[in-house]
Amino acid sequence: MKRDIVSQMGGIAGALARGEAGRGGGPDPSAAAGEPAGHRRRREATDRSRSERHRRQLIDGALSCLEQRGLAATTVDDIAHAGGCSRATVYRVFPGGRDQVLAAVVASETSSLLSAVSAAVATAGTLGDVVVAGVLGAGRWLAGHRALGRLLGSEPEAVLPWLAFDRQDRLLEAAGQWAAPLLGRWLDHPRAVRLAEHAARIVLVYGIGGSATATVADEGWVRHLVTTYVLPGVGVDPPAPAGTVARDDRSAAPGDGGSTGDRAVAAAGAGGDACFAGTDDEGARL
Amino acid sequence: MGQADRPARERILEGAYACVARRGLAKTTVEDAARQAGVSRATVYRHFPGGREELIDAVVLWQFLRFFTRLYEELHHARSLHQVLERGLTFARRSLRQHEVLQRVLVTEPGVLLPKLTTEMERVVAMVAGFLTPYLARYALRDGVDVHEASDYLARMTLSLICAPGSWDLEDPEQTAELVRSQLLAGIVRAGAVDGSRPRSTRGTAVAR
Repeated sequence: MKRDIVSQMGGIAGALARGEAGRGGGPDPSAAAGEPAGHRRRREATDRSRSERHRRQLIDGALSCLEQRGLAATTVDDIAHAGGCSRATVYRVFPGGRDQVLAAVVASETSSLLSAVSAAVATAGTLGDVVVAGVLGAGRWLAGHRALGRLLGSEPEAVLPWLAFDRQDRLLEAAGQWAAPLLGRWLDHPRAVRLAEHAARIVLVYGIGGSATATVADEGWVRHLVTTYVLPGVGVDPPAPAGTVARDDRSAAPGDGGSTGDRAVAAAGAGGDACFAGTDDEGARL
Repeated sequence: MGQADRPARERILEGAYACVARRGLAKTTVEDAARQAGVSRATVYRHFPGGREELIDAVVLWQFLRFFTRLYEELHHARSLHQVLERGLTFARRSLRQHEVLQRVLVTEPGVLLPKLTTEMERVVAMVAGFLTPYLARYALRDGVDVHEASDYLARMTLSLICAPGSWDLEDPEQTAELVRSQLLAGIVRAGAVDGSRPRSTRGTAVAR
């Protein structure tokens, strides 16, 4: 049964690529035949909103079960109980039962992660800030996800398969495609995809495979990492230093999503896709 | 472990690996491995007191080490850090794709294998970083770059890339060179050294184009 869940989790990369996860799509009630259209629409609207509510409750319930009991020990009854619904409701909203609820949890959490990243980068004004804020937004979301943390600790066999090898390939490609538009102000599409994928890889490497000492939830570390190892490689033809301001931005106040510091890094890059001052901004590195 | 013990240990590992190749990780037992290696169960337990679990972990690590030994041989003649990374990425990716047992286990028993790989990860990162450090030390690094931190970054990123290259085709030399230049070394070595020419052995001198 576990493998089924895992394979459904794997489907997430596809959903990401199609841009579905970000919309948190609801159920897809099939139309009942032989009923006046007006009635049907009203009935469906009511059903939909109730289903939607139950769906949300059950997803939240399942999340708290995962956090408290782990994956293997979570049953449909547990999910129903935690979601304040009956067993019958679980099967009405999720005909596929436990596996379908869990797949919906993964889709919902992916959507939540993407929202967190979108929100984190919303106020970032430079390329450097967008990358820092995006990595940090994802890193903090992961670090704060108690159910994921518990599963990685107690049942890694249930989680790792969809984060590794071929599935990680799909995840990275999907993340690259999803995040590239956030970088579109500064970079042409191919380079935006590369950079977005690099940032996503950093989140995976340091956020999930991570070492104990370096965490992508720490703003100082993320800023250092991005400024030192990521940004210098972005401009294909490094511009002249262009009056680069070298300053130590790592002391920027934590918690603001990286929106204030690091202006120097990309100030010169706003106009040209290859340009940004971070290329020679060595002072920002220690 | 004494020198005299090596052949038996090696034989047991080979035997266990043959069992894994045939039947997978979960179904490989101490008895199978012993039979395959032509030793008694007691001998297996003498070398692997933790039994099956310890034996399987040892097989995974042993394969890791064999892989890295071949990788080192492949990279022995590389003349620059760029060459080390480019050849290393390409060779490692190809080896991984062509490793039949690994590929099969990844499909049939990812939940058994991946936690084991993850457990070994920090040790492997340290090993790769240790291998790269002397190469980095020969380069003129950008101001403020710490050799050990940079080696650690390169180790983690290359290991990630080997397992999941994402949109990069590591068997395409041009793409691999571009990847090494832009995402691995651009922030580490000085601009003049980013074209793959042979570094001088003295420190602090930027390499000429």
